[in-house]
Amino acid sequence: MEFLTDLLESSTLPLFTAFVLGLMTAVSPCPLATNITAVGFISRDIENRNRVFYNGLFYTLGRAITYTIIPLIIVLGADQFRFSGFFQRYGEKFLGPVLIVIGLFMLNIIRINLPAVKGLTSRMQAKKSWSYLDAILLGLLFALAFCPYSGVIYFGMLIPMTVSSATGLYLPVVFALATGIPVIILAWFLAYAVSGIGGVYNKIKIFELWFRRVIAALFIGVGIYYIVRVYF
Amino acid sequence: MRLFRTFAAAALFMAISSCNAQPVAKENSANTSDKIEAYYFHFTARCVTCNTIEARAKENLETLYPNQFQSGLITFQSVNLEDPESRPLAKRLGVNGQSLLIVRGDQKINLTNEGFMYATVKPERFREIINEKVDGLLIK
Repeated sequence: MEFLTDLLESSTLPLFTAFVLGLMTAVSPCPLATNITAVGFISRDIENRNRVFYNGLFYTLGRAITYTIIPLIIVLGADQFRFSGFFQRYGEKFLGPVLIVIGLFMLNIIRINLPAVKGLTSRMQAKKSWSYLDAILLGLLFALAFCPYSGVIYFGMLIPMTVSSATGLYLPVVFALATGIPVIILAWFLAYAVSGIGGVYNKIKIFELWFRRVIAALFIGVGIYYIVRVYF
Repeated sequence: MRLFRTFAAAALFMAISSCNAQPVAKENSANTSDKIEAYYFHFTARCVTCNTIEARAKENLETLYPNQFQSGLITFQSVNLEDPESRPLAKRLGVNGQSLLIVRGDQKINLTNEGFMYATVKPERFREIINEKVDGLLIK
């Protein structure tokens, strides 16, 4: 962290500053629980390393969308201080329940038979046909879950840089990329290690089924952690 | 629904409090213009860095200005923004999120970003910044 702070101090280039701020957010202990969950989610297609990599990229794209829409709304006239206060106050509160619901979906415990959500439900339950859209949505959601540390980094440092000039709107994309990189690397390493083991023992399919169950349990566990942390 | 109610309550509160905000602000600035007040505003859910910033800021003020701290000329207060009693103070100082502020009368120095950058990794730099800012306020 000291190294990143030094880099930040010496940086005169907004692009580089945004990147370092993103890395600081990614490696800080504060959003660790969401990062672990994201690594699990991204590496769920554990048998296919390329797919894990693309999942990571789409997850980062989701984060970039959220991080760019917020300054756009501020530029369009929303009160920056009220807006940031709202996210800092409620960002973590909605995350716990949402993670538990996603986990229950993944475990097939919740089934919704309404026609509108049937497609979504069956896709969530299908073991093979995960779409990249899920990764984008998870990125969107996790980027919204500002913890106290990432809230200050984003709203206190990145947003003022972004909204101060018309050309600053590319900065959130760079920031999002930096927050996503450690997650992508970890997920890819995990997939690489596991596929090596699978190749030898040829039991990757069974492993994959259990791995998905572990990820679902991880979502529920992290969800409970956030609920306890925020509400009790 | 609960969110809507919170918004409605906040809007109502602001509408009511804006009517008599002026006299309160005047009264406060008259009482506190000599005093230097440091505030750490936070929410109920804290993080390691946030707790460290609060602890270091308080410790630095206590050790850098022991006489002023003991006499009450310099004060430090930790304020939970989710506590309804904190609303008038947060409104007066224009605080909506986590903030480390040093206030003297109408002057307000925001050290939130410095706190998050330095308090955990470069505590000596954080101490220097606090020293410099408070010295600046003491001279005026």
